[in-house]
Amino acid sequence: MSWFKKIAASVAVAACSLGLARSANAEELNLFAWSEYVPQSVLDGFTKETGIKVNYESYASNEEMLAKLLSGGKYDLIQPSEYVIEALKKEGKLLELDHSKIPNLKNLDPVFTKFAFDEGNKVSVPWMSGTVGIAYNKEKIKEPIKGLKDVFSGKYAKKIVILDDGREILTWALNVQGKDINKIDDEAINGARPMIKQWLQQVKLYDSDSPKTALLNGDVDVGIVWSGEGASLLNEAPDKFAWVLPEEGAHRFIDSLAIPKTAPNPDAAHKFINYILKPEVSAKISEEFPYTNPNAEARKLLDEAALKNVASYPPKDAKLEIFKDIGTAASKVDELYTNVKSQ
Amino acid sequence: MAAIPGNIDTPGIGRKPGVLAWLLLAPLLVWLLMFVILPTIIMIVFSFSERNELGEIVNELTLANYRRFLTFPQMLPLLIATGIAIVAGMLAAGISLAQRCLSVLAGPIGLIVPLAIGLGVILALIGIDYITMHHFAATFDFAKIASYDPAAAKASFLSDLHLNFLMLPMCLILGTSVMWSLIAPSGIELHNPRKLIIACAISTAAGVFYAAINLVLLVHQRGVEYQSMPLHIVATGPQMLRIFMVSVNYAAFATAICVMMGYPVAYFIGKAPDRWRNLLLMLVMIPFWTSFLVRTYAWVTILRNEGVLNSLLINLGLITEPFNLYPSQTAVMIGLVYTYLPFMILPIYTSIERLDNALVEAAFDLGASPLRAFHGVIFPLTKPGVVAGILLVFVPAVGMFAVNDILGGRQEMLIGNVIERQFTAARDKPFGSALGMVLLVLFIITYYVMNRRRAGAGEEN
Repeated sequence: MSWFKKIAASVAVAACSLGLARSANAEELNLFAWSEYVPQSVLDGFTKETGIKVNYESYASNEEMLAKLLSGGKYDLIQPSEYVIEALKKEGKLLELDHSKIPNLKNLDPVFTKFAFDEGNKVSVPWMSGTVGIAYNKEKIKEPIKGLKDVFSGKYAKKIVILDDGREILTWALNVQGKDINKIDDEAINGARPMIKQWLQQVKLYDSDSPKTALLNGDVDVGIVWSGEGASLLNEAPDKFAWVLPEEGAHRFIDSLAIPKTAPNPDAAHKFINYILKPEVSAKISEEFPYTNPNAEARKLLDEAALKNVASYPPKDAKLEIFKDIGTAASKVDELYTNVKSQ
Repeated sequence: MAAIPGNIDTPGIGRKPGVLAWLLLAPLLVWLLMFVILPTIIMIVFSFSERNELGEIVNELTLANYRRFLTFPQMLPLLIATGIAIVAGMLAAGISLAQRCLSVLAGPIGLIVPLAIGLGVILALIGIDYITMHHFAATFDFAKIASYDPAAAKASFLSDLHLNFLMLPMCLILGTSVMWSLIAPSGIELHNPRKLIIACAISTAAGVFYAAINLVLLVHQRGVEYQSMPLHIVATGPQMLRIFMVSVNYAAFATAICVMMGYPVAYFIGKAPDRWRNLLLMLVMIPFWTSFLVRTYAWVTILRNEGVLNSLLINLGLITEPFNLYPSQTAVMIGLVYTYLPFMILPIYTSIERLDNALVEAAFDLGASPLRAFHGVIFPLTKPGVVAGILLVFVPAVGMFAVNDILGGRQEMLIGNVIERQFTAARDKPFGSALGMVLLVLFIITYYVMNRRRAGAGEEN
């Protein structure tokens, strides 16, 4: 036997044994979710209960997720926002959920089962919900900020952090102008352009991942950020930071779990959905990432301070709207964003 | 060791490689296929494809992705500018040729002529712009689509006039490059029309490039200021060229700084005693051992208002107010130089190490001043290293987006960011691919021209 054959044989043996080892504990769940959104303890708990290993891959924007999923990524479970659910559902990319495998669906607050993008939770189950609002440093800014107009009044130029997201920024401008935030055409875009241009000149930092860092570090005094980030700021330094929803109106997002049709292991995905709908698990997620919890039973387990956090639980009368899918108009929004940013 | 005479058969020559040797070729072929050919093909196919609502590629042929930045109405002034630039290039070539004949190049005229050419080009461009605006705006669709106000147009034109002169340095480069391309391959040969044509072509290309940018700036500016043109055309049209120009500027500055910083460092390392040399080389390479992202974020910690640098300076009592370094363009520049400096040092070091000291000694023995020795002997002999370094730094720096994202606070879009966004936020892979194709073609042309020049210079030597 030559050295070549020996090597070939040992490679073959190794491959076989690896294959066997793999099939021995085959159950795996490929979770593709937002960064800073899924506590490790929840993943560990799920593995402990079901024996299914979770591979958690994270992304920082819906579009990043979409790009990876559509170019052939094999994921069992994704966590898109409402407008992406709507688009994926329209194109028939999502698996219809088998409700008999998800008995814990009953724990959901009924409000979260009736949104138009997926009425009756046919293809998606809400994970967390939140808003985009204003967080500011009370020590540096004495007069109260009520809305977007105050933020961009010019007084806080180069002291502002905002989300690096063209559609969000366009939405703020449309809200200030009192227009429909889901009607994105040339007229809406050109109407908002001068306002956005003037706003962006005052911005110091664009950050979608962790805008609270700049506020905590004192690099900026005011930020337009995700509500979960705002809630964290309130939890860390309640005397220093304040949170308001813009009086002009605000965007509410609902991030949901959904199963792509290409999922290799939809069974495990159903099990995971059912698992996170358990009140105690859902409460654990809320404790770590204080967004609005859609799980009515879980809310009962949260302490009062958490429920009183205005960033997590906005008042009932707040003017909140959700995004609809805008399809190829997304590239128009990006054009606008590129245009105003590069001047 | 004695050199082997050429006429004796050395072992190895004429032997045919065996099967195993051919197998060694496999990695090359795999690399060529997987990393060069396939990605380029995918990019080409994507750039001619349609996409659906979700941003998936649909197999339908379209030219729309290219048409977004190569459409007729905006390209018209560009075409006129090209014409002017060609004339200017020819003119410049002619002038420097005449100068060469008069042998007055070394004098101050050598500086004044390019300056005059640069000014002439600018004035010509202003003229074109004025004519385009007043004449063509009325004849072509611009006026129909949005209300065209001649008074406002004039006011805006006048208020933007000074912007033209920002182009002066570029036009200077144009003028000088014309001169250089004619003269650098030494010994002007009036009887050699090929050389003249190459020189004209180079200067024309440079002229077109800068003229294009100038016009783009003006068209862009005008469109935004008083909206006489459909904004989305401006937004999707030559704006990409403008962004590209800004990216090129960043990359060019970073490359220039890298040359200025890298050359002395490389020289010092190359001339250091053996036992120091390896240590110094290792120091240059140590940054590669940590993740690029970690290193870049480290600069955030250094440059922040309450960061290492500012606290140090404040505590030393040197300043009272912190420098606003992060996020800023300065920070981006620092990040670019920091990232790419080793890529400049290493090739220069290699050519300096090979530099024959005897030649430098000879220059001094013949009475050359240090400056003259550097300019006449050292630099020409190490130029291949500098050119390699420039290519290694400049090309990746044009497309870099991460440094700009992290240290620039995402305030400005560079071409890398724009392309990256096409693949994510805009859900528009085809357009991103089309932009990538244009970059690729531009780089190929630049590389070809540079090689051509070098080959030309080599022939002469």
